[in-house]
Amino acid sequence: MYNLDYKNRLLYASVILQHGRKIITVDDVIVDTGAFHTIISTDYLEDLDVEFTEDDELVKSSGYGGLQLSSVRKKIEKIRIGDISLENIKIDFGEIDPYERVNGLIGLDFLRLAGVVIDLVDVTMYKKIINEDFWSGDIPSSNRGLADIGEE
Amino acid sequence: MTWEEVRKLYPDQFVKFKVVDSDIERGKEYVNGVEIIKVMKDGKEAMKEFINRNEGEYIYSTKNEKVIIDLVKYIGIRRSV
Repeated sequence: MYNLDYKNRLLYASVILQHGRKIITVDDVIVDTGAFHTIISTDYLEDLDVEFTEDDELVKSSGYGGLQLSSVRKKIEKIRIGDISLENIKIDFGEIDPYERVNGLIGLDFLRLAGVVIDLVDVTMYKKIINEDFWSGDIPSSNRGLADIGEE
Repeated sequence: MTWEEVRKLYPDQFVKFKVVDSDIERGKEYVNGVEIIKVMKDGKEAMKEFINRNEGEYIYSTKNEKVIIDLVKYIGIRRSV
């Protein structure tokens, strides 16, 4: 079980990214069921010390004014929030809001793939034990089948 | 320049480019023509270029046969100020 941080009237979590020999923590990531894809600020790419690879995909955001920088969709070896983790999930890295700094959004892709239950009464989240039938759902194809749902 | 031409000129490298011709279909932008800004020797240099990119600039490996950009609509976070 993970204790979420409720502030600015939003839910926040600390996310740990592991890639190669690097392990970094991204604090104040908003848990956002309104985001279909998890995104982390580009700044953390430098901290992770990752290279651009031939498998990296291109993403373009639209819908707001201001500067619109492209994002990159990258497969990361491990993403973890407390005891909830996924391996080899594709995460977008980019600028989230052109008007203010946001470290990242934990999107529905992570929450669904990891089988997360969000308890808004106790302000916690935890992993639900799920069966194989769950995977027939509408998980984004880019991340389907990549989840590690094994026991921690 | 077409992506095919880019691949022939700069095989197995990373390039920084702007899109000059594309078709948008079902949430994806299929890129036909690009304007090359820079060619990078490896993934490390390519990442540096990505971090310092300007609006409308993309970095991609010429190992990829096609350039397809996933379009994401941003609505914004509503929070207290």
